[in-house]
Amino acid sequence: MSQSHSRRGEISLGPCPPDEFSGRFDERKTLLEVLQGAKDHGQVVMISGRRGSGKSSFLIWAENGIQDEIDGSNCPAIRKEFLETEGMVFFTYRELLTDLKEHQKFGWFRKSLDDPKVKKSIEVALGILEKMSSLAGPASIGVDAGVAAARGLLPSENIDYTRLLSSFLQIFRALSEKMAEEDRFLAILLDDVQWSSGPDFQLMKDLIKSLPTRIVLIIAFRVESESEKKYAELQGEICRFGHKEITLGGMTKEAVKEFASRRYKLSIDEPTADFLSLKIGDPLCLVGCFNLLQKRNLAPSLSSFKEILPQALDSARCIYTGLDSKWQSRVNSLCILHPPLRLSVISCMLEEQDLVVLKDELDQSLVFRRLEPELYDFAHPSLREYRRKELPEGAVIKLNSQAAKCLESLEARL
Amino acid sequence: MKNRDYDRQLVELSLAEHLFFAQEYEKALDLNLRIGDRLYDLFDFDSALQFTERAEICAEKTQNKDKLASSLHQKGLILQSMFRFSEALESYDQSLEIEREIGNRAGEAQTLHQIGIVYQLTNRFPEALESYNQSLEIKKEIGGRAGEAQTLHQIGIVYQLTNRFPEALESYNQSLEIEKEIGDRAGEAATLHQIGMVYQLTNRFPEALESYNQSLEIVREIGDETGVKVNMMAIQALVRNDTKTHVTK
Repeated sequence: MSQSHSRRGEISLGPCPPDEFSGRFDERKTLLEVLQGAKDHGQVVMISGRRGSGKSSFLIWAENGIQDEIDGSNCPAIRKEFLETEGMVFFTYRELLTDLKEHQKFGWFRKSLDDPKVKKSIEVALGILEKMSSLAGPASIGVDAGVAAARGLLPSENIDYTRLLSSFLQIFRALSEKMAEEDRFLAILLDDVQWSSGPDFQLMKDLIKSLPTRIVLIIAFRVESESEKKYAELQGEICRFGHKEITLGGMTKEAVKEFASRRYKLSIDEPTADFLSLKIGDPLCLVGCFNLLQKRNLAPSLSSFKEILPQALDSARCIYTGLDSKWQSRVNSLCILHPPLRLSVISCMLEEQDLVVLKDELDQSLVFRRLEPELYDFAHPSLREYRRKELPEGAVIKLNSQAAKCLESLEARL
Repeated sequence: MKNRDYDRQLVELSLAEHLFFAQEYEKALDLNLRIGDRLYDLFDFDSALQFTERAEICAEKTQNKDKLASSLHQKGLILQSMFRFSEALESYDQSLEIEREIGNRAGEAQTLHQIGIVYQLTNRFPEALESYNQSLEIKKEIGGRAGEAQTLHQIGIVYQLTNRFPEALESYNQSLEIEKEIGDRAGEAATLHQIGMVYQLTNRFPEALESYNQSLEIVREIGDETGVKVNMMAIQALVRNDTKTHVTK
């Protein structure tokens, strides 16, 4: 067995940086083929897989590659994610439009988007969202659900939604024309679609039906029992309109070898790679397993992996038990919060006043990732989900009470 | 987070959940009920139901009967919009029972109206009429003119659906009169459209055309795009049909 001991230590549980992305050779090839077809038809690709299968990492790799040189065309790509928080209707689409607008001003593909037609369509859609989405704002224009129910109308008679859909299609059509002039395509990548709200999901399905040429929608969907119905629905639409689904299963032996080399600078032999591919396979578990190996300072041999396998199989537990008590306590205190986590709320929950130190530690952390300045999330949602389930009832009440106090104080300042 | 509204929204949504799970039911009640209502208006029925059910639990825990009735009514509306009609009826019935117990006549009338809608949507027309009439009686008693017009409109629809056109016209005309009186332009337009339909169904095409045109004028005035579309389509269909009839003759 060849061994390289240039260990870099443990790595973050968050999505993999694009230059370290490993394996998924066939899946990458399939995506490239789809992208090549974008000049003739609007394209949709669903990246599906279980928890920890590397969907977000795949999406980040794709975004980077499309903007870069994946097919030699340097195309614009925008990635957004749906939040786990219930009730954030149209939040992600609004962020997407805001991003498009910002790219008109500052982005490196601003020339493509700085078209009066595109600009106008974005403004119209944002205007509708402005009226529709505010929880605190006045009642929406058109027929709202309450009036509809009192008149015995059906939910489909929602005029605001129809206007929103048509304005999105106008944006896409305008962008499509612009892309054709430059012989490029625009990729929109949406992560965690399983968490999209009912209206968000409906909009996505309706957009899939009428996507113009040179617009590519790449969506990641986590398959689990809670989201099975939604998954089947989306899969049905993907299939109906002749689009592709890329399912991320276990990593192959070759992929595991590449993973060890790229992410940990470790070289593993064939039997070890074979063993890991067979017994573990999914990237999150592999990270847990390799982190444990590093932590215990073990050689990357078959016997080492056999020794740590029982612990590594439950990736979230394995990651949690590998943390020191300070970080375990932080994870426990913050797991009941909804993402994104504001630095001020984190500080209030942890009762740690020094924001500079806290920010620094969070930025360096393996279990949290920074989304924007002063906004964080768990590096991988599985850790949050695991701790939420494990907390004793008394602790849940106490932590929720603390969170409520922190948010009330934040609300007063907003 | 690029938008301040969303920032506030996220805080509010999270706060509603944390207060609930902290068992601070008094504080959680109003917030969860309000968010449930707002999400319902945004057609996010799954989330609306979740927040409303939380409000229902809060109201039970704090023994706030008034809010419990409101939560159950709201839950009924959401379930109705999700086509879960038997569950909606169950929720409305529970709400009705509490409204009667606490003497909330306006709430009782509104819930009876909604029960009528569910019966109507499930083609149980006699039960629908019975509920609407009970609702109407209370609304007359307490002087809820807008609600009265709304229920008369619905009674008209039931008569229309059961081919009792003279009764339908009578109900619509009563509804129309109140709508004019209270200046409910949207209601007026909707009722005129229905009157047009009854005339059309009874082959009184000139009267139908007149009603549709009156409705069209109002919806244009108030900027109701869907109303304009619906009336235009009805007029076009009517004109086509009329031409065909003349050609055949």
